[in-house]
This record gives sequence, structure tokens and C-alpha cells, in this order.
Amino acid sequence: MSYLVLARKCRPTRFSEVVGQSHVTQTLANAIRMDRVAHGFLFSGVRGVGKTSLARILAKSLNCTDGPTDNPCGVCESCKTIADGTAVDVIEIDGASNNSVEDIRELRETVPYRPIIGRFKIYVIDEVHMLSVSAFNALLKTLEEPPPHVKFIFATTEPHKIPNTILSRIQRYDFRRISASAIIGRIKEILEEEGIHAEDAALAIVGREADGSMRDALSILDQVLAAGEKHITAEYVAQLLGVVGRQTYFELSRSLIEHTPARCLEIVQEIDRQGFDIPTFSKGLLEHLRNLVVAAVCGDDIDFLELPKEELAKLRQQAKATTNDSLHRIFKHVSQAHEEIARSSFPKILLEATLARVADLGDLVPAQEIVQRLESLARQLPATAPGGSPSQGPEKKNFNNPVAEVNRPSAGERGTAAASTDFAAPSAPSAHSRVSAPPSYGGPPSFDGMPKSTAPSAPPLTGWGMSNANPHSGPGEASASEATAPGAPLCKREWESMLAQLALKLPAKSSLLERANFSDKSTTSRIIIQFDKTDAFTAGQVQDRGMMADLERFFGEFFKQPVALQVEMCDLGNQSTLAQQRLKNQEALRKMEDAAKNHPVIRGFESALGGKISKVRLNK
Amino acid sequence: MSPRLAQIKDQDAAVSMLRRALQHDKLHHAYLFEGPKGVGKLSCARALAMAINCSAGDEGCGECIHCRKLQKGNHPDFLELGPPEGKRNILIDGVRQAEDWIRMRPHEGAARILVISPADAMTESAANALLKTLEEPRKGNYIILVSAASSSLLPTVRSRCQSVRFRALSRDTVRQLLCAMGMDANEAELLASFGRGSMEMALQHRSEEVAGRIQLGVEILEGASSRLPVKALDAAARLRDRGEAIAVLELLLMMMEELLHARAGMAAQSGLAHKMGDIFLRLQQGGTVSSAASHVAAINRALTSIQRNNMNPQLAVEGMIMSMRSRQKADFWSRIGAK
Repeated sequence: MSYLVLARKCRPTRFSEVVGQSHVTQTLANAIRMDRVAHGFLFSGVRGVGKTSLARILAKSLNCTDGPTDNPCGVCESCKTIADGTAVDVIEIDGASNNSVEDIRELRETVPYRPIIGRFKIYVIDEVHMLSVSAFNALLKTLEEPPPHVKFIFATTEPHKIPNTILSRIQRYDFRRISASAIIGRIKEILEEEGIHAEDAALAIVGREADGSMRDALSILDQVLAAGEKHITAEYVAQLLGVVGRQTYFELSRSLIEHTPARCLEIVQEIDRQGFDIPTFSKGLLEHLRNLVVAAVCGDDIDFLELPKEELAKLRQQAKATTNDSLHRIFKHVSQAHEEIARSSFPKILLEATLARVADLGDLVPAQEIVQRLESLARQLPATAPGGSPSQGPEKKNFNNPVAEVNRPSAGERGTAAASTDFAAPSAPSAHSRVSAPPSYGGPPSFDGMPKSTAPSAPPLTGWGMSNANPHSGPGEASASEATAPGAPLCKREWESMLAQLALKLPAKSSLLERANFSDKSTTSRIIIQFDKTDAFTAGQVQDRGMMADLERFFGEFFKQPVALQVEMCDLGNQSTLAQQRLKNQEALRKMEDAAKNHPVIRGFESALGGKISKVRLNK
Repeated sequence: MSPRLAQIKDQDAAVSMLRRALQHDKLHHAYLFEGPKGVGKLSCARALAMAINCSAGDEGCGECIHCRKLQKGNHPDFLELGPPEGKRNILIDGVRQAEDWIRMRPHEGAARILVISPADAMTESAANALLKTLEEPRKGNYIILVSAASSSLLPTVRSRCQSVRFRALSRDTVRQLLCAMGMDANEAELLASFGRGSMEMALQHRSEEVAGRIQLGVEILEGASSRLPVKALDAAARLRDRGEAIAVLELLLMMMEELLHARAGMAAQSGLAHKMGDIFLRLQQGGTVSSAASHVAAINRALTSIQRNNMNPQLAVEGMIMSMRSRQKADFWSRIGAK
């Protein structure tokens, strides 16, 4: 009852019958004719292109009773036994099942014996890529110098897995994928023999689905013929193979291009309802998108796609509807997702999600176009702002100035406590800190909250007790140690570094003092804090008894001597407090940001790119 | 009791193809039954074995000695090869034994039939070892590969088989089959909607567990979009069990699909949205089509790493939550930018 499938029934038996591998068959036939046959061959190529078939043909050719011939007779004892797999001199081995070094050793033991009937002893090792490394190595010596009556033929789909030492000992033949037209031609012949008529479109589907493999094509054909119909229509084949109509793909790509996610979801829903296989559909979509990309890139010259004329026209039309970059991006996303879709047990959800996300993306504007827009904008600039340089001059200065302003405090106070706090009080460079630097005894002030930045200068001070001897000692350092001299006048630098310390230890109290200034009459043992008379509220808070005591204790620790505090109300007027300075700084920054935002060049950018400046960052 | 060919539900295309091949005596020596899990592929392979071996002729009478032996699973000419006990893969030794077995003449029936299920569980070397036999088995013997993830099979294996596609069952069929198993009608209805045309999936979500899983899924989704993901991470911490984590993530995927549809303005498909009620509406308004789509990608990634790469489920889910959050942040900034 058993039926022999087409792929086995229609195995080629002569070199001339092998489809699409003329570069191999020609060479082998010539080699036989000229008696220059190598002792080892490797046939590699994708599945179903004729490797095993050609290995058998070669074996027949070599062992045929009519002498080595490029056209084996097919009727002699040798040809017949090789065809039905019972030849004693042709040993066909399944390399994947017999892949161990023991198997190869057994094989090697049989090599020295002469063939029983034929001329040659031919070893065909199929799926040779599965041999283990040691199995391959065990073959090396035999393969290099086999006895004259031995030939090896290896066949594999994965030649990269074969060691170079093997490859260099044998002749390698790479088999090509078989073109759709060659497959269709062969199928037509077979159908004629079977007495069956098929539509061209039906054959085209089979050719496409076979994807370069003759065996796949014949398996599909078997499936089609299993119905026993004498007339085969395209519709029937498409339905049998679960191939979705091209129209659906066009509709889907249109909704991707036109950014209508809901429509995409509807299409997938419909496909699923009709019972199509989603991974297959996704593969078809990928091919369609690839065609679209090709159409976009190659323009009108896309006849090589082997598609009907009206589809080519549609492809071109759709490709023109959007930018190449957008198409590339759609393709990229779908192809990345395809792998997952094919392997997942939830292919539909994944396909839907991918399509929805891709459709939801905005159009890509090519970088080139952006550059063009900017260039055209640059050309317009002199017209809108006459005399570009004067208008740019102040702007530039504005950009630079604030940057410097932000920079200065931290540069001036490097190495002091204030540097690590984030309040940015611009202060005059170290002029008066230099003045107040007489030699002093006693270690540097140390507080728990003292930042590490003072540490590097500390050891020399304690070692020698001479702050002056240390060239690294920062200005704040010097003034603080100097302040231990009783009653020395308080300077601005000290006041600031003291507030910085306070901000670290007692932030709430420092914020109050930031609104005040100190009187000229203040000394390090008696500090007079001045508040503006409009600010009686803050003054009142500071004058609170507990608060005064806390502050006095803190200042005492700072100056290493008892300090008396006094609060004064006066008209501070223009005299700046820290709080005011901070406000001023913020004001300056804001102005700078505004200036940057309103700069004509930036404005130009905004309108050219259709964006909005959301944030301005100031660089140091 | 395995069903006969005529009793295979909802697979008209596949069954009629096999029937025609039987009638015309054109059975391929190697079939690949591919399609979603739990839709009757293996049952159909058994039914085909009955049809081939039945001594009463055409489709397996269910009465003759061969049919009865096949139904009981003790026919000497029928072999089902699966992963060995406690393993996830079919190893080369199993394949070699099966190859030796199929190389023999049938013992008492008309043909030996080897079924490999799931075929995608074969290791690479096992699949390679099968190739030669798969291409040219002994005349009259048949090999049937069954796979729900056929695209992960070697192309060389696929190319040697004739493919038979199975499709998802209709919801009605799943419901009827569940009822036939003695399930209460309401529960069958709900499970049928979760099953998405697959008996296996339907049976995975028993209704007493579903509520808890939905709850967990919602916690993860809402937690991931709140300011601090504590709630979501807390939920992740409860997903230590691999099977449970997979079930929850699968449910989450279904939930996201419903959300995706709802946000795109399409009608609800399964009973899930209905069962979730107000919570579903809240989730629906909590994001865009695009964010739902990227959540699907994140969930699938986590599911894949647990299922295929054997990742620690808790870690996988935590990673998923984090990637959902970063997506939300990106969404947020693009919204701000647009205004």
C-alpha cells in the first residue's frame, strides 16, 4: 500500500537531471571524463538542493560497469544496488547517529580492504557536521592519503562546523539555493508526467513557499496532490498552505504607514479569525515589507522582485507615501519581533503589540532634510537680524558672563568648607584673606560636620603649628586660625565660611542668619549681627534666648574662644546679605536662560524642527 | 481513550487532508503536525495510527483488535517518543532507539508508526540523528512529528516532513469539551475564554486560582506605573514558583491584549475584561495603545527568560517591572515635550 513520496520518487539519477547546480555537476562530470577525480568531496548547501542525490550519482558514475562515466547507465547491477541502497561497496553513513570516535575507528578498519564488486569503495557520510571533534581528527590521516580504491563523499548543511584540517584535505562544492523559476520548471515537468494541470499562479505560490529547496517544493506538491484533483487552482494552494492574500499585506502596510494602530489590530484579528497561522503571516508580512523597502530604495527599477506588474505599481506607490527611513524602521521593528513571534506560544498578542507600537511611532525626518532646513534657515538669518555680529555680540557675552559668575565662587573658595555647600556667593578673590594671615598657634578648627576638603592641609598645620608655612592652606583656613587672636576684627571671609559651617550643622539657624549682615565693629569675640529694620520678624526669632545661646556656643567652637552675640536693627540698604546675593544669582541665571531661549538662532531651530526648548543647561 | 479521526474537533482542513491521502493511498512517510498547543495534534496522530492499522478498513473502527490496542496504548507497532521522565529534552539515545525500532517490519499491524511529541524538545544532536531516517524510513512505516513551536525545529527536519497545520479550537468546542470532562457550565465558559482555543491553556487556569492571579497581575501593572514600585515588587516577590509565575505572566499577556484592544477602541473578546469589571476600565484609561504594546514586549521577554532560559522567576518579573517603568518615564517626557 505504501506510496513513495515525490521527493524520493523524483530523485535525480543523472548529472543532467540535477536542477540548478550546474556549477557542481559540470565540474564533477568533467573530472570523471578526464580521470581527475579527487579522493574526498564535501557537498554543502541548504536543505533539499541535491547534496545526497549528487553523492549517489557520483557513486554510480564511479562504479558503473561501463567504466567511470559521467552518464551512469542505471541498469547495471552496480547502479541498481546503489539506487536501492543495498550496494556493498557504497557505504552510506548517517554522520549524526554515528558521530563518535569509535564509529570512525570502525570505519577506518574497513578502509584497507578492496571493494567486493565495484571499482571503488565509496564512503558517503551524510550530516557530517555532527561528527565529534575527535571523530574528525581520527579521520585526518585516512582522509589525507586513502588507498587508491577509496573515495569519501561528505554532505552537510553546516560546513562551518567542519574543521579546517578536514576541509583542506577534500574538494569542497557549495550548492546554491534553487531559484523559484527553476523549481517551477521542474514541478511543471513532474505534473505533466502525472497528467495534472495547474495554474501558473498556483505554481508561483509553491515556488515561493519552497524557499530555494527542491525537496520542500516536492513536499508541498505532494500535499497539493494528496487531494487527488486533476486541476489545481491558486486559491486551493493558498488555502492549503495557509498563505494570506497579497491584498491583506498591502492593507496592513498602508495602515502602518498611515499610523492607524486600530486598523492594524483589526486586520490581525480578521486573519486570526479566518484561522491563518500567525507566524506564517508574520513571515509573509516581513517579506512584503522587505519588498517595500526595496521599492523605496531602488525606485522604479524593481522588476527583479518577480511579482506581477500591478503589485509592483502598488509597491512603488506605497513606498512613495512615506520616507525611506520610516520604512526601514518599520521593517526593523517587525523583523526583530518576528523571531519572538515565531517562537512564542502567544504569537497573536506579540504581532498585535508590535504593529500597534510601530504604527504609533511618528514619521522619521531624514537627517539630511533637517540639515537642509537648517541651512535654508541660516541663509534667512541675515535678513531677519541685520548685522548678525552686533546682535550676536552681546548674546555671546551674556552666555559667557553668567557661566563665569557661577564658576567664580567655587573657584575662589576651593578647599574651604563653603566650597562643598551649594550656596553660590560670589566673593571677591582672596585679597583680604591674604592680609589676615599672621602666624598662629593651635590646630585648625575641627567640627564634626567639617567636610573632607580641609583634610589635606591639616597635617602640616598640626605638625608645625604654622599655617603660614603651608602653601596649600586655603584662605578660609588661614582666617579661621588667625581668629583665635582675641578681639581681632571679623572679616567677610570668616563670616561666610562660618555661615557655611553653620549651614552644615544647623541649617535652620543658618537660613535666618543669611538674611543678616555683620557690623564693621564686630570682632571674633563679639559679633554684632545686623538685620534690616523691615525684617524685625527674623531678628525676633534670632533674639530668642535659646537660639542666641546655641549660636554663641557654635561661634565659640568655631573661633575657639567665647563669643558674645548682639543683634542690631539698622538700615542695611544696599549692603548685601547672603540671601540677597543668592536671589541675585538666581535672577542672573534666569536672565541667561531667557537670553538663550530667545536667541534668534535657537528660535530658528525651534521653528525649523517644530520642537520646543524644554530645558536650558548652563555649562561650566 | 483517544478519539477516532472523525472525532477530532475543529480541524477540518487537517483531517480532510489526511483522509484524502488515506483514500488515495498517498500518505507521506513523515508528517509534521504543527499548531498551537492543546488543539488535538497528538490525538490526531493517534487517530491516524488507528486509521492506518485498522483491520476493518477506512478510518479506524474502534472495534478491531488493532484499534483497541491502539486506544489502550499497547499496540506493538505504535511508539510515542517524548522526553524521558523528569527531563525537558528528547535526547539522542531516545532517538537512536526509536530509529532502530522504526527500521523494523511491523509486528502485527500494517505499519509501524513513530510519533515524536513534542518534536521541538529534541536536542540538536537528537534532531540531526533523526534526519536520515526521517528522509527515508523503511517502506511502509510512518513518522509523525508533533510540535507547538515548529519554527524552532531545524530547517533540515522541517524540509523532510509534510506539514499539517492545526488551528485553534473554537470557544464553543473548548467549552463543550470541558463540560464533557464533567466541569460546571459557568466555569467551563470562563475557562474556555482563557483557553484561546487550546484545551491545555484552558485547563491551566482553574477558576479558583484565576482570581488570585488576576489580582496579582493588576498589582504588578498598577504598581509599575505608580511613583514607587513597592507594590509591584512586592507582588514579584510572591512569584517564586516557576509554574505559577508563568501562569501569571500568561494571564498578564492576555490582560494586556484586552487592554490593547480596548484602548484602540475594539470590542472585548474574552471574559477577562468582564470578570475584572471596574479595574479593567481603570487600567484602560491608565495608558496609551503604545504603552500597552511595549508592556506586552516586556512581559513576553520575562516569560521567555523564565521558560526558555530558566531564569529565576522573581528576577525576571522584577526586570519586567523596571522596564515597564522606564518605558513610562519615556512616555512622560515625550508627553511633556509635545505640550
